[in-house]
Amino acid sequence: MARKLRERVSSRQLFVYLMIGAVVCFLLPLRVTNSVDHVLSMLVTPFSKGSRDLAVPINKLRRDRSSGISAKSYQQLENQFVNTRQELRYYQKLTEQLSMVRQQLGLERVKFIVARVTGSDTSNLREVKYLDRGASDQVQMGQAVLSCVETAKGGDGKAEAKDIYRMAVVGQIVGEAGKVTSNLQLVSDPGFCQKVVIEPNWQRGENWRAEGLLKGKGMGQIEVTMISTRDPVQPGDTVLSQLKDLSVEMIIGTVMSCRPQENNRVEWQISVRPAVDLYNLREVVVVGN
Amino acid sequence: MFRISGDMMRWFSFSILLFVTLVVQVGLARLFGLGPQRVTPDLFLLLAVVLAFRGQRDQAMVAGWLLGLAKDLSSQAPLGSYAFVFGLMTWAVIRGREVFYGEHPITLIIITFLSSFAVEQLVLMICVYKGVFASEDCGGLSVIIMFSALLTAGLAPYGQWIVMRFHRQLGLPRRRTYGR
Repeated sequence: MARKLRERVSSRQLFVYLMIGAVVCFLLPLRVTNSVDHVLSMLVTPFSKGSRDLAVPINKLRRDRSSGISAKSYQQLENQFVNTRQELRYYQKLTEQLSMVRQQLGLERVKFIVARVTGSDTSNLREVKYLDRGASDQVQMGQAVLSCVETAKGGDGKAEAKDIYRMAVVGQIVGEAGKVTSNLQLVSDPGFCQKVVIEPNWQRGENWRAEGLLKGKGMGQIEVTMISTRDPVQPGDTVLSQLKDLSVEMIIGTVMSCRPQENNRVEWQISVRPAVDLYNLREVVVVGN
Repeated sequence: MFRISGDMMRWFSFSILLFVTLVVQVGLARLFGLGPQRVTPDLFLLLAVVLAFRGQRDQAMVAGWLLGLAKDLSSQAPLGSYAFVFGLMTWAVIRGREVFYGEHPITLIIITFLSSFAVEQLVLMICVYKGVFASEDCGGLSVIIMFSALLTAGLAPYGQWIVMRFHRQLGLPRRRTYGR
């Protein structure tokens, strides 16, 4: 009886100690506790990567059967068209400004790091993916991340600049990157906020630009705010991202719906459809400095 | 170690179950999530509730804490927040489980729903307090939490069935009887 009592007390004590430990961890600065996160990511990455490799083709097959058309190919071409148009504008601008013979081209100044998605945040509050590249590959906080197509990867695991135009912005690196792992914050994450530009769909034949602020709302929803209702935004217009490392604006998505805000009728409330399926990402390209 | 009414939790088997849950939750859950928003069930919480309901008192509390820690490490929440809240939740379920009716699935579904909703709301508050992420739309996040809680609760009877299929390997009592 005495032994049983002692055992029960000791197990309860263990629970109390664990709870105190949790409170202590919770009070520690995030940079201290993040290192523990990275260690676990390294342990789980091979297994979660394997399970995703198995699940993604099954999921893709299921979607292809239900849709009947290759939506992915169509979307890739659409992305390529929009980004190539931006590329053309960029080169036109460069040509106008060139005064020297030697001029660096925008996409050659940056490094593209191909990374694989190994898992998702287990909480429904965040839209964060785990990547298998980290600080050892020069992945840093704040770097933009583009979606990756199958042909983008060269033999040495580096993306080629010409393939970049078939991609779209899917998010950015959030938090301090671990040695071999990092976290990708999707554009639909509630904490995501970025300056964007909206341009009319090329079929409309109009020429205007509106600058706004893109915010993730969670549950796959993305909104653009700070755009005046004087700008004739319509569903189907293109949302472009202004990346600090790339001179060229890249597509994020298209306008899905727009209506005046309820509490501020002079501004649009714009919902954005991402240019790529954010939940079936397998490979991405990190735009390095 | 911890022994009451002849059953002792097998921690090695539990650690395998924990690892499998972790891999499924991190690697697969979002891919097969429901709806265009890919809402996923919280498998860690489901397992914690089932263990709190069916497991031995003290061991279940420690197991709940460990499941919370696993969730902490595989999410962007501050380390210790899920562990603490899961520990509290497991303790509360264990305190109240003798009052709840027998083995009816509805009981489990309701308790899982309430637990999931309360846990996520508490962690959301901790995240906002710690400044992990600033969201103006807490109402929208509460809707996400509710959908996730509904999904988790809906899966709870199946989760319990699976766990009880392995009750011998996990060292859980076959019937829901509580030692005093």
